[in-house]
Amino acid sequence: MKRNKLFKFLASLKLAVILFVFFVVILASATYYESAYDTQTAQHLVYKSPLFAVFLGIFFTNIFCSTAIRYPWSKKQLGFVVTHLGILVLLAAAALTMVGGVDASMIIQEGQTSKRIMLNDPVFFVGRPSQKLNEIPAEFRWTPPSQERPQRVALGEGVTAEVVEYLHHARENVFYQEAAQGVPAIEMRIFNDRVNQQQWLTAGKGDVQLGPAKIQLLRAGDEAQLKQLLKPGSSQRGELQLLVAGQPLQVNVSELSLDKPFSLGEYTVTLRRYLPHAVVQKGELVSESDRPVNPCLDLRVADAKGNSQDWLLFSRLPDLNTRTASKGEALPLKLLYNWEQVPDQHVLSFIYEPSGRLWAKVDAKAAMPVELGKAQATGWMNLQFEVSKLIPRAVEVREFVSVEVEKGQEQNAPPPAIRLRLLGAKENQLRWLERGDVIQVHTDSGSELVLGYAYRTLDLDFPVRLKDFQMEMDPGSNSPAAFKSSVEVEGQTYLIQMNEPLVKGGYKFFQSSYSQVPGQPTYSIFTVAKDPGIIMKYVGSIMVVLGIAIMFITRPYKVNLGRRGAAE
Amino acid sequence: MSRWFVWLCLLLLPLSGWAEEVPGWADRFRFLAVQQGGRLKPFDTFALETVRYITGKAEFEKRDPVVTMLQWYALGDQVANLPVVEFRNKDWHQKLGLPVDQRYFTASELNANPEFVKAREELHKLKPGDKVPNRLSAMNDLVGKMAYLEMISKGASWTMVPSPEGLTSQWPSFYEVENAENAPPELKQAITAFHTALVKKSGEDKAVNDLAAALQAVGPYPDGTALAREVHYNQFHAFRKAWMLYLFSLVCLLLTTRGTSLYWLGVSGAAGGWALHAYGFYLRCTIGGRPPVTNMYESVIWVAFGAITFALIFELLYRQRSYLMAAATGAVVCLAMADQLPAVLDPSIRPLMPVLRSNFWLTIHVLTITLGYAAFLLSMGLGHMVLWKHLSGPDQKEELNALHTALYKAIQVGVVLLAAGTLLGGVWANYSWGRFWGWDPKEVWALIALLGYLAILHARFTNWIGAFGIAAWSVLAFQGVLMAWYGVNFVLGAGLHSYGFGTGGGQYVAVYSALEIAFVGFTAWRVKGRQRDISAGRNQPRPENDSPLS
Repeated sequence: MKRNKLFKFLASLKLAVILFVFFVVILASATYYESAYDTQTAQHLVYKSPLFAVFLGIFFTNIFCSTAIRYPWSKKQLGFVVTHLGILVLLAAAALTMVGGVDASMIIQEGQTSKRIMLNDPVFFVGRPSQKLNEIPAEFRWTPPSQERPQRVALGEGVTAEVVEYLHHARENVFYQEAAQGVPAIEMRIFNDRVNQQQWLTAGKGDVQLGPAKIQLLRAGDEAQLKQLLKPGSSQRGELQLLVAGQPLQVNVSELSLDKPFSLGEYTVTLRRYLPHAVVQKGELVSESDRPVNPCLDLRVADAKGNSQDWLLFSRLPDLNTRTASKGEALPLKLLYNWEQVPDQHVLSFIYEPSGRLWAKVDAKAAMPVELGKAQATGWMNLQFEVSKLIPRAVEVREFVSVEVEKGQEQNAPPPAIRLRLLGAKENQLRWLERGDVIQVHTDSGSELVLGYAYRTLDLDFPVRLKDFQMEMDPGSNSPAAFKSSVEVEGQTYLIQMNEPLVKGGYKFFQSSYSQVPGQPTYSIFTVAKDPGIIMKYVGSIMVVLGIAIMFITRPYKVNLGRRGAAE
Repeated sequence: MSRWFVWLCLLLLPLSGWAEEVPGWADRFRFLAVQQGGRLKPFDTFALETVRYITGKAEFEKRDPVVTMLQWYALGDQVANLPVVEFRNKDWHQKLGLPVDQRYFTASELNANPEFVKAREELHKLKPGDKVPNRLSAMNDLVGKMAYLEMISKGASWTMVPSPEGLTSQWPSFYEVENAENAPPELKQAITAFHTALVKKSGEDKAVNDLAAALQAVGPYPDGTALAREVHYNQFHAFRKAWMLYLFSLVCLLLTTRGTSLYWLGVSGAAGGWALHAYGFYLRCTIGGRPPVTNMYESVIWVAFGAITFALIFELLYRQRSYLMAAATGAVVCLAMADQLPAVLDPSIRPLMPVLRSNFWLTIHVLTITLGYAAFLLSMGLGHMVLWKHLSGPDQKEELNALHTALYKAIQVGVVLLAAGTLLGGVWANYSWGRFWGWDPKEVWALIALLGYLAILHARFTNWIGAFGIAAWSVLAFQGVLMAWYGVNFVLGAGLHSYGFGTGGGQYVAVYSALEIAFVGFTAWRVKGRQRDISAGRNQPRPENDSPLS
C-alpha cells in the first residue's frame, strides 16, 4: 500500500486525539443547547446538521485509514483491528439508519383502525378534495419569516403561500372588533376573591359556561320583546340550532319575537308559538303551564326564494320533531331545539336593546341597567361582574400569540401556528393556520383545493385496530404503573405494552403514551420505528467490546516515566 | 494490633442511643403495614420518611421516628404548637421577619405570620396544574409540610386499614375509618381506643394488640416477614456500618506498607465492609423487588460497592495497598454523603415508573455503566495518589511505577465497562424506545466521558503525554464521568432519562470540579518546573513508546 503523506496524516494517532477533543467539545455544547432550549434545537444545530455528518465522516476516515495503514495485520493487533472495524461498522450502521430509518408516531382511538403514521416533519398538504394530497415541506422554525422577509412556498395550481410569521407555541386569542356589519359583542369579567374570568360574549355564539353558572347575551328585537326580557322571571328558553351543511347556526329562543322573521344565515326563522309545557288536549297542542316541562317550538323556516317549512320542535323529545307543512323545494338543513336544563344553574343574561343600552339579569330577577366599567353584584358566591366594552356591531378576530413554554413541558405545549397569505387564491387575505388546521381554497383559475398544515405522514401496508387500552395504578397512588394496548393486525390480536413492542412488517410498535380525558375518547399513542441498521449496530457493538477486552488482556502496560513523566 | 481491634469495635457500636427508651408496644407498632407512596411498607419506614420530611432528619431530637409519629398523633391539634417544622431559607426568613438562624418553627407561629398568610393565599390562588412560581417554591414546600403535619395529627395520612378488595386497592386511613358511617364498629373502636390510650399514656399495650388484630381482620394483610425485613433494613444501617469499616481500613492502610499485619487488618476491614455493603444491597433488592439501579442514591451506593469490589480483586492479585486506599476513600465519601444528605440523595424506596419495570437489559445496562463509573472512581483516586507522589517524592521510582500500573489498569477496566454499558444502553433503548442511539443527553455524556478516556489512551502513544500526563488527564476526565452521572440529571435536567432527575448539591459539585482542575494545574506546573530544571542539566533521550500499533 502506498503510504503518501495525506494517507499517513489521515491515519495518524494525533488526528485521532484531536478528533476526540473536537468530538467532546461539539457534544458538550449540543447538550448545553438541549438543556437551554430543547431537544429539537440540539438536533437541528448539531446532531442532524450536515456539518456533524461531515465530522463523523472525517472520524470514519481516520479510523479507516489507521486500520488500513497497518495492513497486513499481525496477530498482536487482533484487538486493535476488531475494535476499530467495530466502530466502522457502527458508523456505517448509523448512516444506514439516517437514510432508511423511520421514527414516527401513531395515534389510534379506542375501537378505531388506522394505518397512518406521523413523522416529525411539518408539511403543507395540498390537493383537490377527495384526491391524493401532495406534501410540501413547511418547516419555518429555524429561519422564521417576518412581514419584511416573508417566505414563499409554491403549493401548485398557481397558488403560493406567503408566510409572514411563525410561532412555535401559539395560543389562539379571540376578540371582537368594530365593523360595518356585525353582531353586538361585549367584553366582561366575572370575579370574586378566588375567581377572575375575562370573557367575550356575543349573540348567537352559544352560551358561556362558568362553573355552575351560565352567561349569555340576548338581543331584543323590539320594544315588546325588550319588556318581556326585562321583567322578572326566567328569560331562559333554550337555543334553536340550524345545521346547514354540517355548520351550526344558532339563536337563543328568547331573542325570537312571536311572528317576527329573524334572519339566521341565509334563512329566516319565524316563531309562531312557544309552548313551555306542551301537552295534547282535545287533539290540540297547547301549553299547560309556564314551567318548562316539555318545551316546544312551533316555527317556520324559509329561504330567500320563498321555499319554506313548518316545524314542531321538542327539546326533551327530539324524536317527536315533526314537519307539519312545506312549500316549494326541500331545504337542505336540519333543525334542533337544545335546552339542557341543569338544576340550580345560575344564569347571568345580558340584554342588548337596539338603542344601544345594555341590561343585566341575574336568574329570574328583574333586569338592571349595566354601567360600563363598574362592578355589579350577581348575588351568588360573592361574584361580581363588570362589562368593560360594548361593541354594537362587531366581528370576531382570531389571532395567535406566542406562548412561553417551560422546559420539559414541550410535549404538552400548544402547537405551532403560521400566518400566511395565499397568492393566486380567492382567500388571499392574511390568516392564521394552526398545526392541524385544514381549510378550503378557491384558486383564481376556479378550482377548489384543500390545504392543510400538519405533519408528514406515511401509510403502512396494513391497518392497525386498537381494541382496548388499559392502565394500572400503583397501589394507593395516582401514578400509572403500566399501560397497555390490545391491537389487532391482520386478524391477529397482540398486546403492546411498555418494553414489549409489536414487530410487524419491519416496523416495531412501542407503547409510548396515551390520552385519557374523562368524557373524551381514549387514544393510545405508539412510537413506530424502523431501523435498517440495527443488526450492524449489534455486530459493531460486540466487535468493539470484544476488541477492547482483547487489547487490554493481551497487551500488558509498561509504564513510561519518560520526558513527560517523572524526572529520572 | 489489639489497639486497632478496640478501635474497630468502637466503630461498630450502635451509633446513637435514643434519648428515651422505646416502649415495647411502640416497637410492635412499627411492624404494622402502611400503604403509601405506591407501595406497602412497615410503619417504621413510613415514620422514618415522614419525620425526615417534616423535620429534615429521621432521628429528630434523638427520638425513634416511630415514637415521634405516635407523639404527634396523640397531640392532635396541639401539634401546631410544637416546633418541629423545619424551615431554612434565608430570604424568606427575612421576609417573614423570623430569626435568621432559627431552624424549627411551630405551625401556629407561622399561621400567625401575616407575610406567610399572604404567600399562602397567593399559592391557593393557583389553579391545579399551574406552575408554582420559583419565588414561591420554598413557601409551597413549607405549606405542604404544614398541611401534612396536620394530616398526621388527625390520622388522615395513616393509610393503614387494609382494603377487603386486596393489597393493591386503595387503603383508607384511620381518619377516614373513624368518620365513615359503614366502617366495622370493632375497627372504629380499636382505632379510637388506640388514640385514647396514646393520649392518656396508659393501656397502650393492649390497645396496640387490639388494633393490630382488628386491622388484620379487615382484609388481606401483607406478609409479616417482608415487613420485618424492611424494619431490619431500616435499623441495621448496613451502608453506614460499611463506610465506617472502610474508613477504618483506610486508616490502617495509611499507617502501614503492604505485607504487614496492619495491611491485612485493613484488607479484612474492607472485606468486612464489603460484606455488609452487599448485605445491605441484598435487603434493598428484596424489599424493592428490583435491582438497585434507578435513582442517584442507589447508584452512588452501587458505584462505591463496585470500586471496593475492583480494589479487593486487584489487592488479592497484586497486594499493592494503593487500590484499596483509593477505593476506600471514594467509597467513604460516597456512602457518607448518601448517609448524611437525604435531601439530595433520597434514600426512600419507591416504585419504578413503567418504562423501567421488568427489564433485563435495563438492569444489565445500568449496572455495567455504573460499574464503569466505579472503575473510574478508583482510577480518579489512584490518579490523585500518582499526582501526590509526583509532587512529594518524585524519586520513589518503584512505587510510582506500581501506582501508574494500577491507575492504567483501573482506566482499562473502566473503558471496557463504560463502552459495554453504553452500547448495552443502545440495546435497551432499541428494545424499549425503538432506536439504538438518539443523542439523548445521558447517552451523549456517557459517550463524552468515554471519549475523554479514549483520548488519554490514544494520546499515550503519541509523544504528547507520558505517565504523569495520564494521571493528570485521568483526574480531569473524571469530571466527564461526574457530568454523565450526576450533571445530566441534576444540572442539565434534559432528555429522556428524566426519571432520575433531581435537584441540589450543584454548587458542591462545581466547587469540587474547580478544586480538581486547580490541583491538577498546580501539580503540572510544579512537576514541569522540576523537569525543566533537570533537563537543563542533562539531555535525555525519550524512551521508546509501547504501542500496540507498531
